[in-house]
Amino acid sequence: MNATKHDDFEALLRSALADRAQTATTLPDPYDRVTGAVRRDRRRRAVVGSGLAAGALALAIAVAGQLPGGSTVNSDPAGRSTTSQTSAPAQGSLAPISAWPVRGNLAGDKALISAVESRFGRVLFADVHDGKAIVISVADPNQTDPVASAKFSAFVGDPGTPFPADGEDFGTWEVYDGVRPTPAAIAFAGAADARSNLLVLAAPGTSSVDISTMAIPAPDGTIQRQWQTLPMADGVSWSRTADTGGETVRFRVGTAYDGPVTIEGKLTREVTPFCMGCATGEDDVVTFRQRVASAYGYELESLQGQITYNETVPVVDFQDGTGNATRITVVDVVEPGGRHFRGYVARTEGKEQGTGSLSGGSAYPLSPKWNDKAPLVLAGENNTQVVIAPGAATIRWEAGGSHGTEQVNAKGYAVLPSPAAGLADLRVLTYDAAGTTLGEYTEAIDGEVMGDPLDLQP
Amino acid sequence: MNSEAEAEFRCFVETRWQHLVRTAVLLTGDQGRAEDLVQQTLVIVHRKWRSIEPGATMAYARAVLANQSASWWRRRRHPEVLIASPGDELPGSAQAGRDAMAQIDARDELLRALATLPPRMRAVIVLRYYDDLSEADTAEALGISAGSVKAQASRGLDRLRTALTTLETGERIR
Repeated sequence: MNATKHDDFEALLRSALADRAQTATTLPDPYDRVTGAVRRDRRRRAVVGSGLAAGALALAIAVAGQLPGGSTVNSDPAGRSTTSQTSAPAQGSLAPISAWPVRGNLAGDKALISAVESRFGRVLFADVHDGKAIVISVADPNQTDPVASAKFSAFVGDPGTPFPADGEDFGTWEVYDGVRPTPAAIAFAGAADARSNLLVLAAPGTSSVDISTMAIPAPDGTIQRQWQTLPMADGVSWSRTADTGGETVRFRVGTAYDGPVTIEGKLTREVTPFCMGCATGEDDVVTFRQRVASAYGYELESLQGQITYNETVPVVDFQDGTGNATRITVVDVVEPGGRHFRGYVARTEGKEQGTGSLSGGSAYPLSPKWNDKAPLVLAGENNTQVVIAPGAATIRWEAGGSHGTEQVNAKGYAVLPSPAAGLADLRVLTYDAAGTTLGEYTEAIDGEVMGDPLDLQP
Repeated sequence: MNSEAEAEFRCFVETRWQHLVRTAVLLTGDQGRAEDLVQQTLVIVHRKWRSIEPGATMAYARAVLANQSASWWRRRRHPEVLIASPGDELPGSAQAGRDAMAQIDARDELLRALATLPPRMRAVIVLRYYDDLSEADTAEALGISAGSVKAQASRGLDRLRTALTTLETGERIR
């Protein structure tokens, strides 16, 4: 190509790029959008320290509620505080759930509505969709603070089948439950053949919902998401999603709320719940492999998992105030390309036999720089922080302009001194006996990921 | 961030948002994704505001944008497209269909070919030929060497030229 053609081509390219760029529209107040995202970003990073205890509390509520139907309660897969998600939203003009009318094409079926409400909470939605009747209700499971948490139920059955009265068997009706702080919108994901039906309910009059179905691990170990906007008919949206478990789905309605699916039904990708009595960790390997497959879109058979840590550590917990030691089980999962994911389960035995609490979250991708050598930093109550670093001899911490060195004990953990725990911008480096760096934890990266590995960018 | 710094950040967002979105549209090919990408970028800029050298903010933001975009496109696979029930097309789908019916010209073909380039190569082309960055500035923005920029730009232009030539010679299969 001669010089003239070369120049012509580059001029054409510049012109094409400029013209395409000009088609981009702008926002009236981009700062408003960005500051909203900054607030959510801060909130997510701030919950890292409270995630462990809060996750256990949420599960404890679910267990105490004697959920019917043997359903799993896993509405907050990251095991972090959902209170932080719902305390801040500016719900503004959105009507609270307590003010929602019954919606759906079965809203006029008084017999059905009455039958459900006589046994469960107030019905929010009753509809025939995809050949199945679905009813969503809400109730406070423990008749405690109705603002702090609410129990949502989904009932799926054949249209025309009477809803069972109190004491009767559910028969062909499937029952699913979820407990979470009262959100501004709720979502139910349930399987229909090879795909899942995803229902999002928001305040009447809401015209759209943003949905993200999958967490995308980036090469640097962070997570990204893509969002799609779906139309809502008077605050109701049905969509279909394939090849995903419910835990990976996130939704938001306006700027008021974003969060995970509230109620999980029978999904196309089932994830085995964590087991309180499975402290050997073998079952955790199964569960974390399933979680990685579901959340990040891998074939289950392609994933290798192994227990990398299983010890009791002094992460002071939980709601019973016993101060009993907590067993931390860490599982690393490796995908065929060599990317490492890590999840952990915390189990604390209660005073009475058979009681206790359990917190298990999602598996998050590790930085390729450190992979399985990356330390795990856990936070408990009273600003305690524990660095899990099997194989390391010492750690160096840096936080808030201070720094220090701690020995890693025979159980493979070190406790951060109180001046370090809770300070901003925590960084932890781990070293072997020869002083070689093994791994690094940087709150700005790892903390953000661990806050909720599946929910980073609204 | 104190109120003075926050005001500076606000000014930066308000004056640079549109340009960043335009660049992001070229990087992603989609307005919605572009806005998400710029929002994500500016959250990172906000986090690092105190440590960014005065006068280097736009360069930093552009670097974050380009790298976030490259990471985005390096994902294992595309998340599926949700279809709203009952059978409605998602917003944008209809437009995409209309676009497909539009007259194909050289500029369209160039943009289509741009979208098929590897993410890093695409970023090089966009930063060099839309943002008018020098090879050195492009290299700094993308965290790669100037030599790599030169090579990627050369290969990228070759591929775009090939796409255009194919169109002109009627070899394009429709």
